Amino acid sequence: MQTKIREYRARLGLTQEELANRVQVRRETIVFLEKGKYNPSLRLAWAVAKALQVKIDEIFSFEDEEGKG
Amino acid sequence: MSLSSKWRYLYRLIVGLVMVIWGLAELLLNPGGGPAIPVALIAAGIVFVIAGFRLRQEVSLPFGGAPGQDERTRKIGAWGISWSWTFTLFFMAGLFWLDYFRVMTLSAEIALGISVVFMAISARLFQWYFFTRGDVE
Repeated sequence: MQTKIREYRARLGLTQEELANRVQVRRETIVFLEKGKYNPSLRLAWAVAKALQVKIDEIFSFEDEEGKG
Repeated sequence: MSLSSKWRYLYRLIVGLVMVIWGLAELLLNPGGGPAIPVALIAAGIVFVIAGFRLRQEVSLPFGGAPGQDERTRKIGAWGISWSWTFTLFFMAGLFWLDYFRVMTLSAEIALGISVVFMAISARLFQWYFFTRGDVE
């Protein structure tokens, strides 16, 4: 999984703590989300997208085994 | 800090302290009862107290607002307990066969005490491992 959370968060000038507070998760969860190490639930993905004022598919992308997005 | 967060760490601290005091009382007041139950109570109590203090630190973070737990930590917590339960099942099976082939003889009390401690410690270890990885998959 790849994300553009860091990029969109920087555009809004939000820190990881501020984004975590907005979506009601721990800061560590934002860290792992940005690294693509945590697969969020649809609810959390939607909350992050809403907080960053973008659509879900703009910040999260998945690649299948053959590398097709 | 929400009331529910406050109660969560308070209940862990209180339960942990009660278990430690109960274990110490068993050791002091019932010396003929064997060490397994007191040791299991004290070890489990210490785990509860540490968990309570950690939760208290988390809910008192200076930036505030962020919850002590979220979907990731709850998922990791559940998986840690699940893996711990499975490993303890194998551990208990191992104890059974060790006793069956008379490699070592354990009383039911000691076997139960060791299993309780093993389950508590392995749950924490699995949770710690998954926390360092970030996810369970």
